[in-house]
Amino acid sequence: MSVELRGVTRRFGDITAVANVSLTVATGAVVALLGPSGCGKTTTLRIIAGFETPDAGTVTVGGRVVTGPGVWVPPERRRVGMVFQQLALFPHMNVAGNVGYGLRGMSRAARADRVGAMLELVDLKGYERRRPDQLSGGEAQRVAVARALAPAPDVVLLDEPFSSLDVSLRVEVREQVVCILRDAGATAVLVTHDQDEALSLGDEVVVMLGGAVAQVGAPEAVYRRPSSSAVAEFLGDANLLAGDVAGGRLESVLGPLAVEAADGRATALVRPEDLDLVADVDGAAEVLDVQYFGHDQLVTLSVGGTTVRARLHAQRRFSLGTRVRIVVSDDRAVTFAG
Amino acid sequence: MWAPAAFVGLAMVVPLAYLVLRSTDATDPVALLISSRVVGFLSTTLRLAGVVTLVSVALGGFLAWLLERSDLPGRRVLSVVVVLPVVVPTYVLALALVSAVGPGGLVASWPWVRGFWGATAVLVAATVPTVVLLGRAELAGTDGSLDDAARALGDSALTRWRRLVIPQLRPALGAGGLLSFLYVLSDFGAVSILGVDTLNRGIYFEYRSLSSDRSSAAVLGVALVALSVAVIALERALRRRGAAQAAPTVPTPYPVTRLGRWRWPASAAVAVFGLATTGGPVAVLTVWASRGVSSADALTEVVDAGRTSLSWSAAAAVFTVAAALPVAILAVRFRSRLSRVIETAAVAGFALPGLVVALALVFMTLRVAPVVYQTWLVVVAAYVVRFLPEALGALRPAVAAVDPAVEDAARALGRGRAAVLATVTLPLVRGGLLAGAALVFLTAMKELPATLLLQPPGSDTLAVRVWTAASEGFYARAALPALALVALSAALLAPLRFGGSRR
Repeated sequence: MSVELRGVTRRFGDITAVANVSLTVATGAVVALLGPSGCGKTTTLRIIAGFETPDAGTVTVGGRVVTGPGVWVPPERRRVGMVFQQLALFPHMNVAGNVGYGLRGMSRAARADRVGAMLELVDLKGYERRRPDQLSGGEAQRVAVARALAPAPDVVLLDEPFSSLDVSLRVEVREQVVCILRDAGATAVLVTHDQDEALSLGDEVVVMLGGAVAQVGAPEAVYRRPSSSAVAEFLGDANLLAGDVAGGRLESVLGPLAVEAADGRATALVRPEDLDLVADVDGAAEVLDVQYFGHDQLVTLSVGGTTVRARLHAQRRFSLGTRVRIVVSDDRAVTFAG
Repeated sequence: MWAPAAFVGLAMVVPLAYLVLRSTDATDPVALLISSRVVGFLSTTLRLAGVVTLVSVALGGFLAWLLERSDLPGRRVLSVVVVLPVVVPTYVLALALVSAVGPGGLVASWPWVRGFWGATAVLVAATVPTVVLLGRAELAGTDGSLDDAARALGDSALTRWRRLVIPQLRPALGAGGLLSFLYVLSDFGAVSILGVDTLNRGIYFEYRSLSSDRSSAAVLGVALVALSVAVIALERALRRRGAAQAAPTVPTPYPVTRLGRWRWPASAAVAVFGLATTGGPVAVLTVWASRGVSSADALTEVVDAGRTSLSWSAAAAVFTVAAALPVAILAVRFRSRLSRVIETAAVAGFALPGLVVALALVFMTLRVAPVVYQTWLVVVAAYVVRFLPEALGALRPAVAAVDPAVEDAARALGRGRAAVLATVTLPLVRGGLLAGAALVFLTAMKELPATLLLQPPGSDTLAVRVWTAASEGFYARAALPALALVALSAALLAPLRFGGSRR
């Protein structure tokens, strides 16, 4: 175990920013801490780093208790690397100075070797003398990662590290960064509010809502089998369909869905990409709105008094008011009580 | 950070306590305060401060608008010329004025110059630059699309002046007015040379007079502080709390007002103002100096005084910035009620006239540490108390500009608080440290009243030399050290960027 939180709580006045959070990060794993802004994910990260003190709970890093009853190890002695939202490169030092800053108690030569090795890892060999303001967004990002990894920390914490990048650059840079983390065999905790980022980068995703952990699981598990309707809605577009369950089948406006639920009232989740449309003058659904995105489209429909959304390939066009039939391509659905 | 900052805060307030303590020694402070002499001092002080403030704010506001928003020819040069009087201390301006057109002057001999109106002219010249700088900064920070919006809504040029420009300027004019008023309250140089009986001059006489036991000076000092504090409180109460307006990231430049046929006359008027406040005095002093430098003694005297000025000011710069740093860090990084109290204490010197600070330090050193009485240490201590607010003004934004994440990053990389301060914070605030030090150095060189009261016998600064000679009417002897002072200040100020924010 590289990082373990148990019962961590942090209050600011009347607001509980982090409520009884427990989680474990296995050595070598990349864990994404995902949640909307204000859900307490950054506070959790800062508690692990030692920049915030929790009101209750225990934090263990690399097998050593760093925060707990009567224990508080200052950030500089936690062996925790951090990549900040705005990167926070030292503006008065060059790249080599930044990467070498955390390397102490080493000979000059050993330090230069380590800096060289780190720059090689992030593919920035030859950038030693550049100043932070002479770097592109992606280069600065990699310097920040190299700086955090240089002292070989027990865990690297990344706080929304890609949010300062242009959208066009973001996907490319985050793939590079994850490759670097994996090459270095680093354990990492990544905080993000971006579902795509969390789902594509994390070995495991921790969904936080309202200061508490709502669900922990592999990316596919949290997306396909969310533990609550709130998680389902946060992780992407969701059609939440209420209906009565009888004998493992839920009668919804889209027809019967296979569910694992006791008889009674329940809400089923059907993702918009699981729906297909067939033009049919006698169809039960009517097209209300079409949002065109280029690579795909989101069609809003009215069926039996309920609004449902379907995500389709962009080639097929439906004009407003068209009557269609909705086909559910995967009729196994997750349900939530109520 | 708490301990040094709290120490600095206390060190700023303790001398004041001694002043109050000493004033209670007076036999009948109330009778003294309502004596016709003191009431006269008070009314003269208020009249002078009121007139100077009104003229400065009106003139300064108009100049700020001309320089920032109109197509005045020669704006760039003029915006430097207008703020140049900053380098000329009031006693030098007063000396130049009285020796040029006062009784026995070079050009004319008008008796009224030595008095209220002469002092008014000098103090207006000295305070206008501050109003102009504040006004221009305010105007430059406003988004030009406001004017476009008002135009689109049908406002004429004059209406836009009334409804947009004046309200935009109001905060700056309020602040500038407050600074001007306080400036007059604390001025000693001009009023003493021009013989205007303000409270400051009264305090000095009480202090120097052989018949007095100095406690009456303490009483008047306390009264002066109370007056300053009352003015600040009044300004705070009157100031409208404008809602903080989110400035657009890329403000649209404000449209330039075309002056038309007034362009050149306006430009000439501004140039004349600039000449009258800097070029003129320098010319007058040069003539007097050429008459005065007959012996080599005069020159060695000036060199000695210059050396004293430079070394005391350098010491003041170092100590003040060192004292300001923990306060600035505390105020920016550790915001709490206590840190605000400490910050307020640290800027208290802003409301304290130099003469009062000096008096307080005299009483304190005599009681606590008589060995340092009349040594350079006490002079420098007075400079630190007086000029700490200026150093803080330069340092605080510099500290605030350091991203706290950069400090966190250094700690996450294994360095403790002290190491982070040394390797990250200090290098990043170096510019603010240097600017603060330069500003304190410059102001300390011009300081007169505290130096006059506290200096060790026999070692004069340039400022004291100018004042001593001028107040005895030896214009020629006063001119050379005055010129030296102006030249040194100007040389120092040149690297400090000041003037226009636009163009």
